Amino acid sequence: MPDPKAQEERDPLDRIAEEFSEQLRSGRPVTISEVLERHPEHRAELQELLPTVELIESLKARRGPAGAAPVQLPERLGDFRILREIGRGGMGIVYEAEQISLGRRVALKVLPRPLKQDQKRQLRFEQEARVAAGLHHTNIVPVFGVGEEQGLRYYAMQFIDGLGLDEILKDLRARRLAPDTGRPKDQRRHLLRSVRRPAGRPYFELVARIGLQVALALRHAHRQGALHRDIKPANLILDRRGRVWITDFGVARLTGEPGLTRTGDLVGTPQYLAPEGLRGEWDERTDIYGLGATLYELCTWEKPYGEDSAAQLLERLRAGALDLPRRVNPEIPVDLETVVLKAAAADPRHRYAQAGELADDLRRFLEDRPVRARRVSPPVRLLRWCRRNRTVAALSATAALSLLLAAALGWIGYAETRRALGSESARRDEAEAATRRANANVELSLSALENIFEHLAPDRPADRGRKPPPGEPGFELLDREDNLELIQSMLGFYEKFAAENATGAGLKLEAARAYNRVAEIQRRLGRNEESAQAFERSEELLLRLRMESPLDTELLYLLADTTLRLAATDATDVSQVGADALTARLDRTRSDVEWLLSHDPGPRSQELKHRFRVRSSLLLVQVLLNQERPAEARDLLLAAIAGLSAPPASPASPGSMTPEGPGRPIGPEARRWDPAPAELYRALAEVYDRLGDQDAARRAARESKSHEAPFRGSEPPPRRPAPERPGRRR
Amino acid sequence: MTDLENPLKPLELRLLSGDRQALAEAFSQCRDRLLKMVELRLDRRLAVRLAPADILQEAYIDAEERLPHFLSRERMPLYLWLRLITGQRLAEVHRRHLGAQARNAALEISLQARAPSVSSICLAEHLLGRFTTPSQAAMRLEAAADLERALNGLDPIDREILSLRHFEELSNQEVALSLGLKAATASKRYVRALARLRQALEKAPGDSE
Repeated sequence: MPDPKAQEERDPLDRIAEEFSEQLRSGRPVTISEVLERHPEHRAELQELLPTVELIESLKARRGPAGAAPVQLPERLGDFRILREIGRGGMGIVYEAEQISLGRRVALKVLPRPLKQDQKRQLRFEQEARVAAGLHHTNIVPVFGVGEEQGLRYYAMQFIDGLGLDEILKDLRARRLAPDTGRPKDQRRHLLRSVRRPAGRPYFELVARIGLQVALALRHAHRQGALHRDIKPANLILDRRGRVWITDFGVARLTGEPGLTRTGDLVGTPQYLAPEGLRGEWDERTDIYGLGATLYELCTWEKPYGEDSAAQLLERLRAGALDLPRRVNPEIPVDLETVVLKAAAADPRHRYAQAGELADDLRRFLEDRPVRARRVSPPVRLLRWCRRNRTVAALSATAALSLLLAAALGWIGYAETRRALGSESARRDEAEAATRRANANVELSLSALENIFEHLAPDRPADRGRKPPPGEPGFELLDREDNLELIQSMLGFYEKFAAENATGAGLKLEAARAYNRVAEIQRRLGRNEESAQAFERSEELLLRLRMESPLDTELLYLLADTTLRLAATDATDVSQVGADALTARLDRTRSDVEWLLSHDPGPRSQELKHRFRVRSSLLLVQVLLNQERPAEARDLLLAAIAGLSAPPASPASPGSMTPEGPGRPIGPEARRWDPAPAELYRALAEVYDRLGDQDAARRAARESKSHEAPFRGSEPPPRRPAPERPGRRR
Repeated sequence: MTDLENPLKPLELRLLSGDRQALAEAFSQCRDRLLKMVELRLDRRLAVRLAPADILQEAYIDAEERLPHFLSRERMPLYLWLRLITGQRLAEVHRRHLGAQARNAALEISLQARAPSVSSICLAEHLLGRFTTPSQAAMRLEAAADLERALNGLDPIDREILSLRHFEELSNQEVALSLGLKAATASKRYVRALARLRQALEKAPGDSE
């Protein structure tokens, strides 16, 4: 005790309030009325102040364990005799009770004694009862009625003899930790009691069946306009016959009935609460997420986002960095994992749009048919992750890209990425360490980055050298500032990577690729000078490498590709490069292409040949135009266009820079399109212009337009026969 | 929280007798409370980048360096001194990261303590951590949101004093020492702050927005 004199100087109300607070903190049961009785002289003031003290003390984070403030409940409430407390849920405490008049057991949900009269809460209570009572489904706990007695509001539900999935999971986890400490207590018996670990087809089928029942019930509720808003293991009861019951439409409200939940109000349980729920946005997909997170836990026996401190949990939730279920538990069937991941995707747009779709996929899994959900490739996951993690993307270019790299590699060891989500300093260290490790796996990460890049800035070669006009659909991705930022940091990364490895022994080829990438990024950003320079550096490196290993097919592809791309930049001014250098380049490329055609026959070399023909024609046209020989240029072009009628075997990926294989699902449509016709016609229009034939120039320009790149997602335009025939010219 | 002073008393004596090891022990005993203090006061903009534990780490180094300062101030209880050092470190962190914004006069109400004042209270975040148990209540979050709004609508001095008493769980005596007030004044202010909070709570519900 400090100075007793100081004690006396204190406001007596303060002392009483302090004592009351300390009692609450220590978990000793104490009620306001007890305090009032002890201090009748301050009754009026304390009546005002103590509820506030109780409110603060009950809501603040606690250091030690402390039970929720006890609610004193009469033994009877109207027609109901209260037997025992079953649990505490979103909006109140649930008791097992007996309905005396009908002699049946019910679950009675009682709203605790309100700390203050709260109209909003009452409204919600009534609404909740109304919504729940309106739902009739074999997997939703029926509501019998609502009542109010002695100032307490309650509603009666069917009593389900079962256990919440949360308790079952707790039990399962405990048994896994201590497998041989005997059988679980009798009253904990449940369907899964014999399961020792989450493994085996029968177990996962059981999980899928649980999910299916809940999904169907949700579909029903959603169709009635009711959102549950708090789907989680604790609100799903498994009865002894294996039926699942959704209970506690505790925070449900009718969709489209506004006003009750103010924006920013937080309901739900974070580990099962979708990221948009944290922002107060709700729809059907938020419920689907809750179910997805629950299935995740049933599959892995781990909480979806671990059990760390609030701040860490929150950060991870916001980042949506969910551990891959099969990484936690490799026993999970791939298809089931796919379904779970889709249901629990951080971005609602990536989730099942409706509970029915989730139910369908679970049924497919149970019937051993392929599920509809598509697996998301690592790069796409990575991209989504980066999008959500603005803080990371806002780091300096290298740091961000190192982290990207770390993350790309993390798909081999995803745990590393997760650790990288810790404190900022740890994040940077991780990123650096990962960059070091990266050298071993450079190729993989580079190709992952390729895919991200393709996704961010889809190629539209018809706009080659043109700054992307704002608002044009094909460029919306590039236009978005955050994407641009990410691309810029990518550029920084590639440049640094290329510069550091240009002289090193092992990574020269990768460095050349990186320069090639820098060039490509610059080109798509509309910076032709820089693009050409980077292409030249890449070409230079590759030429040196070719001296070391002249018959390396990959290298030759890359070199030919680089040279052709360099030739395609507007900055390649034929008059400056000089005809000789140009001829030398073309000759070299021609012989390389021929070598490739004979040693690696197939669509890839065919495609390269096609590109070579088109590019060399276009370059020769430039030379001819420079030498004021437009008529020859025209003939050359018409011949080249006529040659187009035999299209290349595969118009697919133009060069070695595009990795084929599993990482490709992003925007493949952007590549199927062949830029050659548009380019040739554009050149033809220019030639006609020089020849003074405005009509033909206009026709050629129109033709060029019609061959321009389709917008993303549409099919390439049908090839039309060339309208210009050599015989038609004047 | 008068009993909280006692466990530190032997450590205080050891410190005064020159045993520096006692500082580490004292610090680890006070760690939770100090952490709470930092969490409560760390600027939201910094909270995403800085871990309160890191700030405590720095504060501990400060405390080691400035131990003579404590020894010369024998009237100050050890916890309050550690709190003072931690508060100063926190203020320094704010200055470093937020620059001029941190010198906002409105924030500087507790000059004596020099810790940045509690500029806003975010109960929801604290509550989130408690949702790991099955029986959690959205209602609590609702109520927490109301309380939060009410607290954040108070005068800074009222909010500060309520934070000290209820979130940092300081005794009136400790509050008085921290804020450089007489015990009687601190007590009166606390009761007044409670009354104001209650008024604010009555106004808070959603009907008045």
